[in-house]
Amino acid sequence: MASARKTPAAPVLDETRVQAELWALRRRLKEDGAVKRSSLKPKALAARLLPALEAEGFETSGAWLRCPLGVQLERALAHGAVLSRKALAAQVRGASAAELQRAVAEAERTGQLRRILRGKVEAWAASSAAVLSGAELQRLRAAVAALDKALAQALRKQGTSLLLSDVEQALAEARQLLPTRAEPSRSNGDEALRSVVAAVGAARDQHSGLAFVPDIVRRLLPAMPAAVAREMLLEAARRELVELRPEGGLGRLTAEDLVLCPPGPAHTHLSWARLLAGGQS
Amino acid sequence: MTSLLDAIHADPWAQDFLDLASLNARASGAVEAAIEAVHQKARATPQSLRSTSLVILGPPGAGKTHLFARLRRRVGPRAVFVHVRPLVHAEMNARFLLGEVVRQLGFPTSQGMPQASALVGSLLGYLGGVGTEFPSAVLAEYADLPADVREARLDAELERLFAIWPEVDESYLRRLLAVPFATPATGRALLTWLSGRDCDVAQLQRIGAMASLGEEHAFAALRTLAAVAALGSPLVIVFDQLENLIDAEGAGPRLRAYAHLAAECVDALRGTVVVHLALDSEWQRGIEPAFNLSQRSRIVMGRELLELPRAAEREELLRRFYERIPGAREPFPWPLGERRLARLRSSAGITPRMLLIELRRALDGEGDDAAPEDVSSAKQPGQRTATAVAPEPEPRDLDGEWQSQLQEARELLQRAGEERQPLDAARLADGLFACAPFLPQLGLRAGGKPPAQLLLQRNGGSEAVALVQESHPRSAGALLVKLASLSTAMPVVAVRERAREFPPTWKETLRKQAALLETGRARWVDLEPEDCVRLLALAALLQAARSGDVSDAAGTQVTEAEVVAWARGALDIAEWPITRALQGASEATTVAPLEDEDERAIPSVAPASASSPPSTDPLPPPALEARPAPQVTGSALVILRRLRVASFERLVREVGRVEPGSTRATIQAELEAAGERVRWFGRSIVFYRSGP
Repeated sequence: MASARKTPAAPVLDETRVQAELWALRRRLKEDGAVKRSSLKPKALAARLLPALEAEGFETSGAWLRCPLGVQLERALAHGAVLSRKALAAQVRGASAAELQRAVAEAERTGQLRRILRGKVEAWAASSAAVLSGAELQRLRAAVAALDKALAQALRKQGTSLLLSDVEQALAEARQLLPTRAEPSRSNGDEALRSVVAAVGAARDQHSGLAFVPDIVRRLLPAMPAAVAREMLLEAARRELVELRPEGGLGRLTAEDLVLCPPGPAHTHLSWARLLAGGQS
Repeated sequence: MTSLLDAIHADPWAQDFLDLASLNARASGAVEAAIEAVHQKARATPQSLRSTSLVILGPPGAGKTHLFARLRRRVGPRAVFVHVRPLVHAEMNARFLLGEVVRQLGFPTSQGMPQASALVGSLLGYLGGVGTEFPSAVLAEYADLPADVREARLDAELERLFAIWPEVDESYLRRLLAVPFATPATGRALLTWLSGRDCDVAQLQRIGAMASLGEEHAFAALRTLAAVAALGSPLVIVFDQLENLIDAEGAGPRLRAYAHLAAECVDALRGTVVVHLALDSEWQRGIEPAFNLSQRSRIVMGRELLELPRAAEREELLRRFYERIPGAREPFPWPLGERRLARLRSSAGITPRMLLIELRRALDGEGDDAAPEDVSSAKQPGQRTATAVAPEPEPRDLDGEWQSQLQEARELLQRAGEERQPLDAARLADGLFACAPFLPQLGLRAGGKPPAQLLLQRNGGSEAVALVQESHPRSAGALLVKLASLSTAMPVVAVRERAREFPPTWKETLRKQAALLETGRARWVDLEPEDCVRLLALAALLQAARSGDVSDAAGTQVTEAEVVAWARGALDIAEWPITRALQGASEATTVAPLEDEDERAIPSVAPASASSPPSTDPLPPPALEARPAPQVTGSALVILRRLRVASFERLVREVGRVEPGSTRATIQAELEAAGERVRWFGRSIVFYRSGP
């Protein structure tokens, strides 16, 4: 006798569950940047969640549900980070290479990003990064070219040299053409420190009071790149808000964890953190 | 004198001591508070005394062992401190713990009196109603009494004790109370019996016992000891270097056995403070997760994290280290300099040990290697990822560390010889087990069932390795019979210290030994004194490596893998007489059976397969001893006069630049020949005396 396959009845979704899932998903998107749509199960739940999140501004693209690419780019380049194309792609999730390229071009056009050259490598920085304008580049080039010409002549005519004071003056004039650097915003730094301290508090084990540094850095990734997070952890330690502790050395750190730990003295890695009194207040 | 600058790793029993009270005051305060709570409860309601258990965690070099030394000094005779490092080859059990506790009763308190005397003096003070603060005065009063009067008073005090705790073991307690009033030889015999180790015939006669304390009585003995100590000087049992319990595959039987023992101590011992010291990362991820809920609730009653020194504390510590430099040339911050001091104040993750190492390096004239974080801070954030990867390991010079471990093991051997005691079989088995990674052709592994300690896999078969360290002929004989029985199931290797060979008067024991070897399935291996030293030193070195307590000549912490790599290249373990004996049957001995039990135990010439007395043929002397006498070169003294004070390592380097052919031995010989002109501070700092 042929058995009749029954289609399972669609699960009933109550509103409380949908809201809880929405809340969790927003949090994941904030932390990870994107989630696979296939991870949203059951289908009925996905059908409820996706329109709601799209209405809030999250994007769906192919297999991914993600934070808007503009937001992800902004986060990646926060706190003065300067990233090459490859590094930038590693910080943005849920986008194909073509989508990312389009988003970067659009961000450049709107002034959200600055494209710069570091040696021969192209890199991107946030719009707040101190860069030279086209006119400033022209003036500086002219000033440096004069010095370059003088140096070349002195080298060509055997036995001749340049007065040190002349070279100093030329360099000083060139320096004067540089735009004055805006003081880094103290409030931005303090805000980053506060978020680092908050992440240590959130990642700490309730019993021991210790927080695993790779967990802290991962928590901070949506807001800042790993390198900046590590730097801010060291700064928090210098200010005695947080105590960074070296790893015991039994080789428990995975390669992924290792790169997230700031290097410590004597070839150690600072893999554990503890809030100090200054960081708790 | 051992210079503090010489001691990068804390000695729990050090007399010379440098402390910064503000650092980790919370952790030591927690232990002191637990001890005080026992004192108060003992005065008020002794029947309700329970044990406390605290976990103290920190990274390598943060001061875990130093904390033990601090507590010993602060609390003095008001508590009995026991420092236990775990066994590597086998599970810790009550007998092992009892052995460690009683062995350390013989160690001095910070005031100099033995801990056993402090325990008994405080107890008698408590029972006599004069308080526990002056144990030596109480003991002096008892010692002045005629022996019979003292006995009567001790009997009366015992009765008062039974009124408090009827369950304590009377015979154990009587012998414990007798320790401070006994002659040195009887005192040693009493402690041997109390520790559960095997007493020899003379020792049993001295203390009027029929037999040694059996293993089955070990936990009851611990209970008695803890209960009576709680009234005066409570036991503080400190388990250190617990990360050594973690096997390669994670939580194994040793870790479970420790958790069981520790939980049982908390449950069953009265008024004991149990402290667990471990690396924070290993406790979090490897040790505590292996406990069940019941064990966790007993072991982790309180948890303290060791703090790393803050900027001000770092500077203060450095100042105190500086004050110990003999003949410092300039005021502080010499020899560091302002810049280096500023870096040490501000860098993250600096431990007290790192500070001491930096000072030693500066004293040796080594420049400031900026910490990786400082170097990399000049780079762009994107470049930091690369710096987070560990640098390629370089070969490390661990000779100094090895010599230091050898020295400690030699002292232990010498002490055992003076007291006519065999070395602890468990520690020797640890030493044999430590050889395993260096003998790939031999599968030496733990897990041997009693009476064997280890299993040796060789030529496709397995052999049971048993340490026969018994002191009494009956116990040794009983063990040999068990081994003979075991040999029917698998071949046996019996190992015993050559220094503790069976005397000819132990005829029955010798007969059993011969019977064992006659089975043809047993080998006898004599352990040379120098091999004992090497085995103990190797086990201690590898344990210290696991705990991050090994440093190279430059003072940098060395990983366990690097220590193993160094030992593989430098120690030639496969050529040690004991390992050679384990590898080949040709160097082991079989003994001809005795024809007549009454015959003197000097065997006649034996056939080829069964040769004479229960000993091996003399093995060739170790290569270390076969070196020619060093030649004195002549530059070391001149260079030392210029430097005035330097570490030996630096002197070796400096002389090496002038005389490339010089060696450590030639320099050492030259310094020794200089007599009073050259003084040593510990084993690594050398000083030129310019005066007459």
